[in-house]
Amino acid sequence: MKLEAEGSTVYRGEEVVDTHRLNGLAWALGSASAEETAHLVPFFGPTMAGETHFVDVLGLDLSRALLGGITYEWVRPFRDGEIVETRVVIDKVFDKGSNRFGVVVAEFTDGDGALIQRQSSTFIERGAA
Amino acid sequence: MQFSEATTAPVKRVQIARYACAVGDFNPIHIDEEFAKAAGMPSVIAHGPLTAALVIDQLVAQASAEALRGADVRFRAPVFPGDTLTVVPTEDGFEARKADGSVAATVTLTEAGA
Repeated sequence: MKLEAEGSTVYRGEEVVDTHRLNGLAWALGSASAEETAHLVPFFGPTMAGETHFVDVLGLDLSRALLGGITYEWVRPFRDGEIVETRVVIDKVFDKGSNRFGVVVAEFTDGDGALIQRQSSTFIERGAA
Repeated sequence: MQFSEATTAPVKRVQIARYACAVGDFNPIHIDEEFAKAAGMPSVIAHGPLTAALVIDQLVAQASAEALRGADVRFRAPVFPGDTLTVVPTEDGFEARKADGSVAATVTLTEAGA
């Protein structure tokens, strides 16, 4: 991970919460409650513009990287067919011990600018500090 | 709300592939067996957000999506094909435990009205 990536915008744009995506996620989860759960977690912020783009912006070495955690703040579940504004930024990049950490924040807002969901994902690159 | 212990079905390779397609995360450690082994893993691993979604799904099944306001998921160990996750209420939240008792993730939940 590149320390200078801190503050970079990974992605900004509009997304449709389409039925195909929700169904695909529910299919992957494969449970009786999956359809409802899919409305809470249909997007993974860091890969909104494609996993390759995110890796390039953050300078992530995939062979040493892992996802340490993800925090969801839900104002409400997503709604079928709604258009959401998405903003994904690299909030922090820092060293701790021999590892490097990157925190990626994704915010999803509705047409009025009201927050629907905020995600904070922490990546760890082992031995990169 | 009082949550009860609940266990997922075993994670399947096809489930990991479906998740990769659904969210567009094709990191090879999730879908390429040789890459995963070269990275020191015994096989491909489930995406962290998939693990999180599987755990959250067990909680949604007992409450509802509308009843949840937040979840902080910390990953402790990789989840492999064949693993089940038992979501166990603890003093601080929840643990997602594999069949051998090891902890794959811990979860702190925020409910509506909390």
